[in-house]
Amino acid sequence: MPLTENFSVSQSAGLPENLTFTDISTGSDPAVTQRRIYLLQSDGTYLVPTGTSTDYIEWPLATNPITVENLLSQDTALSITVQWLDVSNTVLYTKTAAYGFQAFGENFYYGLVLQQVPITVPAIQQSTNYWENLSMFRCLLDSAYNAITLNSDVYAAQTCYDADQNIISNQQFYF
Amino acid sequence: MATNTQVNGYAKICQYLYQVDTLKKSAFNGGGLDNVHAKALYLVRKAFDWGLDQSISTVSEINPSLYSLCGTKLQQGIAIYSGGSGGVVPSPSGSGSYQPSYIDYTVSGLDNPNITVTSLQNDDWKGLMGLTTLAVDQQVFQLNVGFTFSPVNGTINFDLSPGNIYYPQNNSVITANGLFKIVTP
Repeated sequence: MPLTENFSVSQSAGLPENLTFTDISTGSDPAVTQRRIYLLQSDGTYLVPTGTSTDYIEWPLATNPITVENLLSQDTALSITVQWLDVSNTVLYTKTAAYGFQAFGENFYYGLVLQQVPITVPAIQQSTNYWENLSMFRCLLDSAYNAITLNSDVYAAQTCYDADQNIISNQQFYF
Repeated sequence: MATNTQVNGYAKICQYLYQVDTLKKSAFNGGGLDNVHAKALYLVRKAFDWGLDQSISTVSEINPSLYSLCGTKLQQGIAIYSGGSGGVVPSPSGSGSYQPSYIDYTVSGLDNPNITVTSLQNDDWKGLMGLTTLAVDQQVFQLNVGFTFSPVNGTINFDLSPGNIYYPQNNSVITANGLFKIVTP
């Protein structure tokens, strides 16, 4: 039974810098001896962990799922390709999908809303333009999500993520 | 206290209800007073969603805030969430009731002992089964005292016997009062 290649990727709120890859392929192919992950960014470069000399991340067949640590530092849109290769580095199967990883932004957004709850003086939601800026931030996250899920548009999504990162980095001017 | 999942469900429904309300008011009444409510619900709910999805320990702290944002739509939201519907438009038949503002009747038989008032539209009178009083040019008449109503053909007869000093004229406005049954014409 040939391999029907497929994979999934997840990110968690607690460790947003890490990505966990899971091979959810069905079937099997004894010719497959190695597996690689390519993380193509919107600027055309490949994202790899510090210290990696190749454009790809080795994903041993025996390790499933695999968590790649300290990969992200902000919300990031990626075109992810996983390859299944034989012993002579010939690509037998390949699967590409666009993903948006926005746990940094969602965590920040969650923190903003959570700050509304305790009655502080002055309450955060009374600060100038709080709702407008909160809304703008939410709009950026939703737009990035739509760009990925509806259009697989990594560039557009990353533009939104960069804008939301700008708000996070300069939050004292917005909230 | 409602659970986090319940509040999330209420909030989604209430957001929709506020949005519909806002759109209707905007379209027909020159804009709603509460046109930011749906937006505020969405903004808070998205954070709540993330907290639930990621099992963040502090998510319950947002619960009361989101719950209170449901505001005046909360009871309707709870009813819908609990398996009800968003309400239906009453069918023009069955056991509902309505209140007609006035009835388009023509007056005849002025030279007879009784005055006959007949519905202009063939079946309008069928809606008057709950008739209790009639106001004719603001003069009020009691059923079976100042007038009679035939449930067979809808004619209304005013008694011109002594004491009944007012009766409909050809251009009279007749207003019906009572709990009117809606019946199929």
